Amino acid sequence: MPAPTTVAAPPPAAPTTLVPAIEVRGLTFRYPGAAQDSLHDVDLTIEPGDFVAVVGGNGSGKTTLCKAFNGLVPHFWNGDISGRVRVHGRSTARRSVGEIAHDVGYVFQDFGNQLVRPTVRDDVSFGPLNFGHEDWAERTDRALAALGLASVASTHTWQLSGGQQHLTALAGSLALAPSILVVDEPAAEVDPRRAAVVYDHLTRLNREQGITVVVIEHHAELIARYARSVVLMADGRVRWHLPVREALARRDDLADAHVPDPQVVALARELVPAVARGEEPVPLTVDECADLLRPVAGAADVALPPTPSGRGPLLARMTGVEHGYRTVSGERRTVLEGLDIELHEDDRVALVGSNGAGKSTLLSVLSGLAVPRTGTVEVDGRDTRSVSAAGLADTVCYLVQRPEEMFLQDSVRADVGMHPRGRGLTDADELVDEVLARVNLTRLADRDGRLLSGGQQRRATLAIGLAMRPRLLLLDEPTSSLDLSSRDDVIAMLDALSGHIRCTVVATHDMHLVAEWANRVIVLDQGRVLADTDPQTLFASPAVLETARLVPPQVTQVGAALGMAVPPLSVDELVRRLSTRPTEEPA
Amino acid sequence: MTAVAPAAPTMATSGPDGSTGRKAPKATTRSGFDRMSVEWVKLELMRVAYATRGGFLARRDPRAVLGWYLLCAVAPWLTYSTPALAVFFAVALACALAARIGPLLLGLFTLGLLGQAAYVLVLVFVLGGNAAAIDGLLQISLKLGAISLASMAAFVSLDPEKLSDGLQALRAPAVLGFGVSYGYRMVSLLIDEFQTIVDGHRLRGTPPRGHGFLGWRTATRIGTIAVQAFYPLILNTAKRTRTTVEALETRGFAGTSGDDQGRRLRLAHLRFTLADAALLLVTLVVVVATLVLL
Amino acid sequence: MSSNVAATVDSVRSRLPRSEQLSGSQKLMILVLSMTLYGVGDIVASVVPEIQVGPLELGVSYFAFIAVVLAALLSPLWVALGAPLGELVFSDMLLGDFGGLSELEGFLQTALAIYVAGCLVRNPLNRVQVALAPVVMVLVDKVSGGVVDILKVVIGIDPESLEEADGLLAAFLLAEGLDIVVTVVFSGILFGALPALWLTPRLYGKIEPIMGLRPRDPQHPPRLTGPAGTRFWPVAVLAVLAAGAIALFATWEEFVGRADGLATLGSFEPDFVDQFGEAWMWVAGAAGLAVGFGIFLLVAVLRARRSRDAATLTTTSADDDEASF
Repeated sequence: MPAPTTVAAPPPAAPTTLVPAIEVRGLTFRYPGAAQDSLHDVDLTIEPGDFVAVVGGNGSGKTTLCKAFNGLVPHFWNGDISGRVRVHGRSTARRSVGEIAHDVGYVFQDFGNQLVRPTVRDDVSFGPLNFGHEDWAERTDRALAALGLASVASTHTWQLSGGQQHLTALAGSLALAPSILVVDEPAAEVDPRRAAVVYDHLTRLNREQGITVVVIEHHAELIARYARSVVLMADGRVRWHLPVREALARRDDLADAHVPDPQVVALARELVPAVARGEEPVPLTVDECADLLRPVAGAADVALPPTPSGRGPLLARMTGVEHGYRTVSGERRTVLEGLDIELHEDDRVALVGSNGAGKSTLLSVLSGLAVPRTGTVEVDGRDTRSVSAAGLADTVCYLVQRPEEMFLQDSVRADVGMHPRGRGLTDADELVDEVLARVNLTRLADRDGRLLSGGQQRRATLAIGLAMRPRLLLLDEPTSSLDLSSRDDVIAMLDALSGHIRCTVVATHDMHLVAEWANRVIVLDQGRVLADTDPQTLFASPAVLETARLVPPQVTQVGAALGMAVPPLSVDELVRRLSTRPTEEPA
Repeated sequence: MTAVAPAAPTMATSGPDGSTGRKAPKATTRSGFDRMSVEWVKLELMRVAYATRGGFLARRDPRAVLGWYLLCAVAPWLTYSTPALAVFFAVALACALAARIGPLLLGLFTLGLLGQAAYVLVLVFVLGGNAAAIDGLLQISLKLGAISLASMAAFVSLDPEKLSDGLQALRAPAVLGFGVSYGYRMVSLLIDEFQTIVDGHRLRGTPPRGHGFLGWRTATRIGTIAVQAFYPLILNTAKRTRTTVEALETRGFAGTSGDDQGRRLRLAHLRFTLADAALLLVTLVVVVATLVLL
Repeated sequence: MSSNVAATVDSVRSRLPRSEQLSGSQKLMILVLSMTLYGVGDIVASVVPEIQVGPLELGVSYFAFIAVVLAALLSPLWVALGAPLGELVFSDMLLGDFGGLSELEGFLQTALAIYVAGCLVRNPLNRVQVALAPVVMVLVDKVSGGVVDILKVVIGIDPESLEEADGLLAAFLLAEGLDIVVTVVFSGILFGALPALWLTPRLYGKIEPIMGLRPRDPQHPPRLTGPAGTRFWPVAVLAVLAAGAIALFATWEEFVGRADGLATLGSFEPDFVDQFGEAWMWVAGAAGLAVGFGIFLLVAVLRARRSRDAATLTTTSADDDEASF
C-alpha cells in the first residue's frame, strides 16, 4: 500500500477546520483464515457530534468496521489490511489500541464479558488506573454520575441486572473520556425498555457533551427514535450513509439488511397513500403516526371479536407455590409467592414481567428441575415431587435462554437425537430427520450448534425440544438478541408447532411475541400473578402495564392514540380494521 | 500438597447432580432444597471469599500480613528442638484463634492432622519403627501444623482483593491481580452455566438404570456427565474469553506488562502504619527468642 | 471421523498465516482461558464425592484432562502458566484455602507437568499421544510433589536422629507411592486419559478459530523449549525430572516387588536401609528441578515482558497521523 503523500482534494463542503470524527478511506480487511474480505474498499466519514446507526445483515461487516474505528482491527485481529482509518484526523495505523481508547470508547455486544472487576466502581476505574491517570477517582465518579450508577457503585457486578451491567460497561469506556462511543447492539441482550434507558443516556451524552455516538442496531424503532443518520452495510461495503428519515424511506434496502420497517412506518405506508408513494416523509414516532392516521381513522372503528382462547383439559396445576433462594449475606429471598396457576391444553401462554419477577424460576419449577419449597406442582397428573426431573422430561421440555447452553454435543443432529436415543426409541433416526426438516436445518445438521447464526441457533433449540415430544413446552426468552426477521421466523415456527404440543409457555420481554402469538398472558410482579388475561385486555390496562414495566408494540400504542377501545395487536389487524370500517358502517 | 486440605471436604457432601437420591428411578419424595445443593456450593464459595470475620490481622496492611506469614512459615524450619516447635505451634494456634479462622476450618485442620499422624504412626509400627521415629513424627507434625495454622490465620484475614493488592505491592505479576478479580466475576457465571449444562444432560441424556453394585452406575454417570459438560463449557468460555481479552486491550491491561504508574495509583490506598511495623517486630522478637532460648 | 476432522483442520490451517509466534493478546487469551476452565474444573472436582482412607483419597484430585486437552491444542507454555494460576485463584483463594508458600510449590509442579504433557502431544489426533499425556502429567506432578513432601520430612527431622528414623521415612515413601498409584488411576486415567481421548478430537480445529489461532500442526509441534534462546533450562529440567521419576519408580517397584503381602512388610526393612542412599540422590535432584523450573519461568515471564514493552514503545510523529495500514 503506497503511503499517501498529500490529501488528494480538500472536501468541498467543509470550508472550516472541521475534522471528521472518523474517516475511513479504501479500507479492505480479511480475517486470517477467512475465504473472503470482511470489509471491501470501505469509504465512510462520520462528522463529530453525529448519532449514527450502522445496519446490515449477518456477516455484512458492521462489527468489523466498528472494530476498525478503535484499532482492534488490525491491532488485535491481525489480518490482511489496506487503506486508512483516521480518528479526529490521526491515523490508527501506528497507535496502540489503548491509546485509541482515549478517543473511541467501545461497548461489546456481549458486554457482560467486558466487566472484569468485582464491583462497579472497581470496574469503571480499571481503565483509568491501568493508563495511570492521576485523576482516576474523579474520572470514575464522573462516569458513574453521568450514567446514574452512583447508587450502585459498590455493588458487585454479577448482582446487577443486564441493563445496569450494560451501563457499567459503558461507564468503563466513558471513564477514559473518549469523544466517540461505539456501542454494538445495545438492545441485543436487554429488554427494549432497558435498551431505551441506554439510548436515553447516549442521547444525552451526544447532546450535552457533543460525544459522537455510533451504534450497531437492527431495531428500526430505536433507529427511528434516536439516530440522526444511518449507515447501511452489505457484503463488506458501505452502501449508503443517509439522514435517518431518508434512510427509513428506503424500505427495500433495509429489508435486505434484515431491518424491516418499524410498525409506524409500515402503518403509514399501508394507510396513507402519499407516504407509500414517497411524497410525504415517513413518521418516526407513535405520535407522528397517529397524527397521520387520524384523518383516515375517523371517529370510531369496529372492534373485532377477540379470538376465543382455547380452554382444553387441564395439563398442569400449581397450588400455593412458594420458592426462593438464599443470598450471600444469608437471608432468604422469596422469588415466587403463593402462586396458583392452571395450564390447559391449547394454551399459548406468554409469561411477562420485569427482570427478577420470577419468570425463570417459575419455568424451572414447572419443569421439575426445582421443587417448590411449599405448595405443589402437578404436571399431567403427576406431582413433581414424586417424579425425578429426568422422568418428567418425557412430559415437559424446558429450553433455556442461552442456546449455547443447550448444545451439549458436537453437532445439531446429535443434540436433537440425544433425548430420543437416550430413551432407546427405535425410530429415533427418523424422528430426528423429521424434526430437522421441520425447522429447516437439515442442511446444517452436522455443524456444531454454536457456529450457527442467532436465528438458526434458536431453531436448533426448538428442534431439540420437538424431538423430546413433550406435552408441555417451556421456553425462556426465545426471541432475545435476534434480529427482527429471525425473530419473525421463530414466532412463525412457534405458531406452526401448536399442532404438536399441547401447551406452550414462553417467558419473554418481547411484546411483539405476546401480541402476535399468545392467547393468554400471565403478568408476574415480584413473585405474584399481577394479571392473567389475554393480550388485548393486557394492552388496554395501563395500570398493569405501568407496574410490570411493559411497553406495548407500536401498533397497539397507535391504536390507543387513535382512541380504539380494543387495542390492535398487529399491523395487519389495524389496517384491516381501519380499512373495513367504511364498508361496514351502513350495516 | 501438604498433609492438610481444609476446605475441600466441606463440599464433598453433594454431587453436581444435587442429592444422590435424585437419580434413583424410584425416588419417592424430593425435598424443596435438593436442587439447592449446587446453589449452596456457589453461595458458600462467595461467602468464604468475602467473609472476613475481623480479627487482629484483618485490619493490618496486606504487606504486613504477608511478612508476618513469611516469618511464621520459615521459623519452624530453623530448629530441631521439640519444645521450640511446641511453642511455635502454640503461638500459631493462638494467632489462628485470634484471627477468627472459624470452627469449621479449625476442626478440619485438627482432624486432618490427627488422621495423618495416626496413619503414619501405624505404618511406622508396621515397619518396625522406634522411639526416635516417634519423636521425628511429633516434630514434623508440629512443624507442618504450625505452618498450616499460620497460613490459615493470614489468608483468612485477607480477602482476595486485599491479597492481590498485597502481592502486587510486593511486585508479583499483574496477571495474578487480574486473575483474582476475574475469578471473582467468572466463578458464579461459570458454575451457573455448568449447572445448566449438567441439567441438560440429566434431562436429555440416558436415564439412570439404578445404582449398580456399590453405586458404580451412579458414579459412572456423575463422572461421565461431569466430563461431557466440559465440551460445551470449553467452547463457550473460549468465546467469552475472546471478548474479555479484546476489552482488556481497550482498557489498557496487557497481562505481562506491569505499568508502574498504574500500579502506583492502584496501590496508593495501602498504608504501612506503626501498628504494622509493631506486629512484624513483635513476631520477630518472639521467633528469635524462642530459637535462642529453647 | 478423525480423517474428517483432519481435513477441516487442514483447510483452516492452510488459510492462516504460518507465523508460529503468538501475539501478546493471544498469549493472554490462552492464559485467561486455561485459568478459568481449570479453575472451574478444580471446583467441580472438589464437589465430586470422594472416599478417604487415611491420607489416601480415592477420588479425583483434579481434572487433569482439562489442562491436557488445552495444552495439546493451544500453546503448552501459556496453558501451563494459566491452569495452575486458575487453581490458585479459583479454588484456593476463593475457597479460602490459600496455603501460602506451599501454593507456589504446587504452582511450579503443576506448571511443569502440564508443559511436559502438552509438548508430548505432537498431533492431537494421535490417540496414543493424547492418552499418554494426562498420565505423564499426573506422574510429573505427583512425583515432583511427592519428592518435595518427602524432602520436607527429611529436612523437618533432626539430621542427627535421621538415621534412627528410617522407619518413618519408609512410611512416608510408601504413603507417597500409594498416593501416586491412586492418583494415576483416578486423575490420570479415569479423569485424564479417557476424557482427553473423547474431547481432544472434538475440539481440534474448532476451538482455535474461535480464538483466532492456528490449529497445531503435527509437522511443527511445539518443542520443549523456552522462548528464544533459553533452551538449556528445559532440557536440564527434563533430565532431572526423568532421573527423579526413574529413581522413584525403582524405589517403588522394589517396594511392591518385595511387599506382595502386607504380612511380609517387615521383612524388607534391611534392604531399605541400603536403598536410602539412593533416595537422597533423587531428593536432591528434585530440589534442583523445582528451583530450575522456577528460574526458567521467571526468565520466560521477564522476556515476554521485555519484548512487550519494546513493542508498545511507539513513536508519534507527524506522518503517523497519515499512516495507512
